[in-house]
Amino acid sequence: MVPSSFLRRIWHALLHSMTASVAGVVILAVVLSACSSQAPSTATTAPAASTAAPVAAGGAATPAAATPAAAKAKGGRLVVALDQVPPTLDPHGSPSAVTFEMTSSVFETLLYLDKDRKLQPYLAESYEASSDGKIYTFKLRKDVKFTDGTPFNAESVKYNFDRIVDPKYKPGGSLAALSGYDKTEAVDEFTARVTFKTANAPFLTYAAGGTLGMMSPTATKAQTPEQVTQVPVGSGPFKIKELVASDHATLIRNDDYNRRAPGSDHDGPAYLDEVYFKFVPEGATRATTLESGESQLIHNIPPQTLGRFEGAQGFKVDKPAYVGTPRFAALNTKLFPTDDPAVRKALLYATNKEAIINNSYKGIGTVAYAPLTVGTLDNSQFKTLYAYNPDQAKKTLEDAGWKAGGDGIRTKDGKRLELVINAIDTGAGIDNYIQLVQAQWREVGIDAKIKAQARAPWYEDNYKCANNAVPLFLRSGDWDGMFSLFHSSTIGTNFNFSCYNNPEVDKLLTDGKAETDTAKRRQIYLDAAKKVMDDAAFLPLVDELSVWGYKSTVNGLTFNGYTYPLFMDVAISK
Amino acid sequence: MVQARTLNVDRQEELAAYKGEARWRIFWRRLRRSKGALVGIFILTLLLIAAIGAPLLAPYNPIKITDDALFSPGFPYLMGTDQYGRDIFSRILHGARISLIIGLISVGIAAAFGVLIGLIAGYYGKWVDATLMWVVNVMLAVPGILLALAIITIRGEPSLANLMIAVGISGIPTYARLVRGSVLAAKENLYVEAARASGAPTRMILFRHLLPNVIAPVIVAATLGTGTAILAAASLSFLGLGSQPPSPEWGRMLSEGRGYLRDQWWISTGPGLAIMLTVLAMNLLGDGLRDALDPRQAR
Amino acid sequence: MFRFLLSRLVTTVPVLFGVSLLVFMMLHLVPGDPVKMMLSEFQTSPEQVELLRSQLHLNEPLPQQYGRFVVNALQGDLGLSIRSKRPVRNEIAENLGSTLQLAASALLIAIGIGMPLGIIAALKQHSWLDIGPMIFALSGVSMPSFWLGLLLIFLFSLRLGWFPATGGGDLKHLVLPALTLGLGASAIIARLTRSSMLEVLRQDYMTTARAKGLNETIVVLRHGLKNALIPVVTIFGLQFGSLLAGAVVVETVFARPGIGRLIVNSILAKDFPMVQGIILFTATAYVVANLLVDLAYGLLDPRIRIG
Repeated sequence: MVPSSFLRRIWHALLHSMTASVAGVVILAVVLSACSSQAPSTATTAPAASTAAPVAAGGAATPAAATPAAAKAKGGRLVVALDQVPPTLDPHGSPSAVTFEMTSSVFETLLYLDKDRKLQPYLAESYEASSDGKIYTFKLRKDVKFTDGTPFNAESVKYNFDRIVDPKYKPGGSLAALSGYDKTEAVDEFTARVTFKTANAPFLTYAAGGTLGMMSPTATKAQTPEQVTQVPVGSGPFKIKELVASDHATLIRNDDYNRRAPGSDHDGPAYLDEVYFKFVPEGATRATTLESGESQLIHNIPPQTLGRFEGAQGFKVDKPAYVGTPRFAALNTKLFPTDDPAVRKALLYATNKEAIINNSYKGIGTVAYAPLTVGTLDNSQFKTLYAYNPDQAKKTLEDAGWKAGGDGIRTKDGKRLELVINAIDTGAGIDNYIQLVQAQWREVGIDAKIKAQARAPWYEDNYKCANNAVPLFLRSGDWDGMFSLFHSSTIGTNFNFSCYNNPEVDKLLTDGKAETDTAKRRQIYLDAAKKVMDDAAFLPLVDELSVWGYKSTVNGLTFNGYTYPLFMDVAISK
Repeated sequence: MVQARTLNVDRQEELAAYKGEARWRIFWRRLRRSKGALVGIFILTLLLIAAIGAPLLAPYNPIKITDDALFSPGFPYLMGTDQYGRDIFSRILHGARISLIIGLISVGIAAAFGVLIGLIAGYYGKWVDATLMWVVNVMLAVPGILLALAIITIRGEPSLANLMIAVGISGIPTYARLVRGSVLAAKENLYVEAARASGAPTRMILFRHLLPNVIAPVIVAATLGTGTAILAAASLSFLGLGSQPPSPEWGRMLSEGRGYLRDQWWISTGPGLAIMLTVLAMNLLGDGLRDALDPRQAR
Repeated sequence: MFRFLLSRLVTTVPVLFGVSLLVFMMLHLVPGDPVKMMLSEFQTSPEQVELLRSQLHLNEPLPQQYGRFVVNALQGDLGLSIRSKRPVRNEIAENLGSTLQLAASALLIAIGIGMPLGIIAALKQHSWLDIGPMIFALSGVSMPSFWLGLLLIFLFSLRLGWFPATGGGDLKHLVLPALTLGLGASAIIARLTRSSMLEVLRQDYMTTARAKGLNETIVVLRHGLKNALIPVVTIFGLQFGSLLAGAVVVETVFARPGIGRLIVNSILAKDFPMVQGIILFTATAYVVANLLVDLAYGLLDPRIRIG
């Protein structure tokens, strides 16, 4: 395990250059993780019935844990099958949603976003925000200790936030949450004041997100870089025991937990002894593990197997709606042939979302219309835009000079209408819906090639604006998530895979960060969304649900406002 | 698996006594004796018909997505449909084309380079031989599928073309070794000596005199190799490193049917059987050919 | 014996040298700049790219880089994974056990099924006891292992629920992957054992032994089997390679941790140092295994040693 000195040198070289680059880099997004990856599953996920788009922002519909605390059995081990291997468990370093599916009961945040998307106290008992959106003061709880014994205080907050913006550190989604960060000061032992150089109106929401989870300064400093990615230390009801890459991870109960976590049904430690995660990329196999009893809880049930669990004896299914963007395809505005607005508009008209929902999602999801889900930013004005209309798609192409060729593929100036879909493969192939989209586009004379690749090269291509259409989704607790998608400064550094550059939209997105009046903010983001849709830089597909299936012996599973599962109330009955 | 084997001298003389057609008649008579080979030929004939006639024989468009998803085998879809409503029977017919082309081209690459290397190494001997065999042994040291994986990595993107190149290159060592061994034995023959003494150009000695003498085991190896290549290509496609969607390549079809194994078993069963029968046919024919071309092995 | 050992070693070293050269060149044959590839997830300035390039010694002349590569590899240092930023050596070590476990159990299954079938088939040549096993063997050789794996999952996990379908862990998780890998290999071993046995049975000394009135079973076991084993031993060397290769597919089908799955994931993620490391490691292991097999061969059949 101890690297030789040569190794250590390489390691430092890598770290150094990465960190150095970080300032410009910003990888991820919005506070919430990105998730491209998810693909297969997510797709799979969508539950049918739900017509219902989630409730107001955020949606996470939580099934309440009805059982009173007293009735719950202590002890036991919950085996959870997830669809992906997390790239890291360091909450500040992860760009990936799967990390937060595992760590939301490990790392606590200053505030808590409940299932109705209301902010609640958590590590901070109260807060004040300046009217210009630049200064935030948090009064912290005084009885919190990290699981290594280190007391939590204002210095801890400072350490965590400084860590994220440290140019030597390579952050994940966390950096975007602190955009414009200046400093954190310990006003007194339990009062922390966070100051921004430029307004960061969504900061409070982000302070309730997993990417700004609090890690123990003592432990983090003492650990090797490898340990920080595998067994980072927090203060929550569970602590991480181990992460065995590519196979499993284990959380164990924090017996010293002395308070009531927000949304919880009881004071003190969690019920379960242990939460054991195993990684099973292939959806149908994952579903089988639930039936066979190998696991008791699984994420992303493939739609074709949902019928075996929903309403079936012995199983329960929860389908909270995701917050942030729908499943969408970023359409590259810089690369031939999608640099032609007519081609992009044709793609929007040619895409039959209903068919995708029926075929690939088996109804688990609803048609998406705009850059943010209906539940995140209500957008009825968009519902009439780009309704499925293959004839309109053909006409749009025809008018722009794309004439049908002999093999059914259109050409213009001797060039075929060929484009590349950059699809992510997290280990079980690409999502079903991508082949559907490919076929639908072919119907109007567009030849789409699918390029399936793993996470790293997928990102690489996207940063280089190397492909025409990129299916993905992004979870964001705030409308500001659109900044990562469409602000020109995020081309090549964040999720602006459309390589979209529109000064008007840039201005709106910057204004949105500074506006503290909710109604005005809302209008800003609606305006920005409208412009993006007019430019056809974004192809909304499906507002998705996060589908969790479990044994009915499992009680008390809840979700936070970011749709991540919380394990502190979970108990297993006989 | 194929060992280098040369026709023994008696046999060569006997064969040389016949005109071309007679030689083929003997060969055919021997081949017919092997029931396995006949079964292999039968399956391969069906496969060829499927491959050539796919556009005419297939009742549906193999890549057209329809609303008839997950129909079970029967009517109107003989072998059912997949999750995209595509007719599996039509896809298998078109897949036969892809698999045969993969098999032929990769074995073509492997055999062409392998034979050339083997001929040159065997004929020139000394340092030429040592160098070429070093290269071959290095390639052999990397298990086939890993070598193919490495080549695909070097080539960048997974694609059908890169797949064939990868499978082809990783097959080269087999032929090189086989031919070299045969050449070493054959070049001691009198007529080769005679040709060399009479000042015949090397090219002529290699291709006119030596090649015909070593071609029999190459044919056997190529037949068996085609099966192996099809299998390897299907494996790589299954892993997502070969043909890309919506190609009806059999390995890819199997991979796409994985998620439906429990309730829609037919999605993966059809292509699985197709791969197995094709490879089986190649193996049967290969065994039969070996027996017919190399009587020493006949049992 | 010593001379034989020496001569085999002498031929092995150049091969390993070649493998290291091949693996080293991989990184340079890949289209694109390896340094940019390593920084793929970050937006970097040209200066930073150059900095990393010099820190990784990628700006040195190739021979010098190669020398460094070999020296490091000899010390067990295979570089850092781009993806996980962890030493390749550690990742290989973590996954090796699982693959070895799989390969070893598959080999046991292969021998346990393949050799008896081959022997019986040879002894009862042309009977149904010959034809049956040989049809099994041919089908086994022709069957794609990923399909066999899926069929076993279908039957034993989905229908009968006897064994888990996926993952690593206890012995229960090992059964289906080992069967998948072992059945394919058993077919090859059965075919080889049969033909080797047939050849031996035809030999003069067998006839002599029989003529001396020895019990047929003893003749077969004592004289036949021992000699028939010689070529079969070679197959173990070859099988080692094909088992490793088979693990690539089988581990993917069963989502089982191991070297095979690691390399597939690394290729998909374009994690070149990892791919290099695994290929170098596997090839070395393969060469060494074949060397050992050759030595065993030499022990079994003294005539070989001269060669």
